[in-house]
Amino acid sequence: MKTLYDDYIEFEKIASNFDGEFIDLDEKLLRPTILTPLVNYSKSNGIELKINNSIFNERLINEEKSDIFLELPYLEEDRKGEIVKQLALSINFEEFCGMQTIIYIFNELVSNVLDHSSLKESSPSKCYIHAKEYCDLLDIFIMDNGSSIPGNFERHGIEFIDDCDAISKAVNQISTQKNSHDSIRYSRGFGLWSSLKLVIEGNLGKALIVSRNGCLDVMDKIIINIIILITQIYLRAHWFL
Amino acid sequence: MDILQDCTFIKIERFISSNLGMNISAKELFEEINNSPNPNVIIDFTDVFFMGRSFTQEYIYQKNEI
Repeated sequence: MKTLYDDYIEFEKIASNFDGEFIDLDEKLLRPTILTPLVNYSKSNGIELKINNSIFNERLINEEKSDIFLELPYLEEDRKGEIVKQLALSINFEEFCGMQTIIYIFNELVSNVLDHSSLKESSPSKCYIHAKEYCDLLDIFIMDNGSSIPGNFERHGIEFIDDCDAISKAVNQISTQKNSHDSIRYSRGFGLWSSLKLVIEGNLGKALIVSRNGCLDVMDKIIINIIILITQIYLRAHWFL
Repeated sequence: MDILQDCTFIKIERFISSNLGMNISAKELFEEINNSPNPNVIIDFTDVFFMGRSFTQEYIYQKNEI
């Protein structure tokens, strides 16, 4: 069975090897970890994306309730909570991990995008959410094309060895957001860690976190593959669950 | 003393959303509270569907900063 990392490499292969004015994607490759970064890549580079010769249309994907694709629009910041709720309710949560888990993860990761990215009208940053149901699993993909975890750490003077180390630090609750109190009670940085814990330990899932050249492939609580990507295709912060 | 005198009422589901997920939302809530001309503020949590960790953490922090 293909892993999240396999899918991500497939995306890189497609994006690297296309030659022409458009990318034509086989319908069989419409998995979130392949499709969604391709949508971002094609939009960012002015390339047309086709699915079996038809121009990609987000609404076509959303015709089936089991496949939800959303580009988070610019709105008043607080209205995004409503969008996230509607998205979570669209998923058949009873079959999987339950509504609480899904809405928790969406809230935490979108909140991270709002905190650390520039999802404002004047900024080119985009956020995509893609959730696809299969018979025995739920594949969720959240990405933004903001400054990336390593990029954010650099801006805030947080040192790290390489981009994988930056991601590890972020997972281990190092945050660029500070509160004035030193107390751990008010400290930041729990969103990514708690979401991963919920997926990996609470629901026996897997996760892939890609940020700039760093990649953490979390297979379970113990096995985490740390990969430095050598691609020229820069993706910012992604969480594949 | 009538506690309802000089009071600002905020129905949070209307002010923010029925999904209280983002810490930015908590910051905006307390901006509104801090800008209130009244000394008393009542926050109505009815019709709230979900309250997440990020929002809650920021809410507690902001409340203790007052």
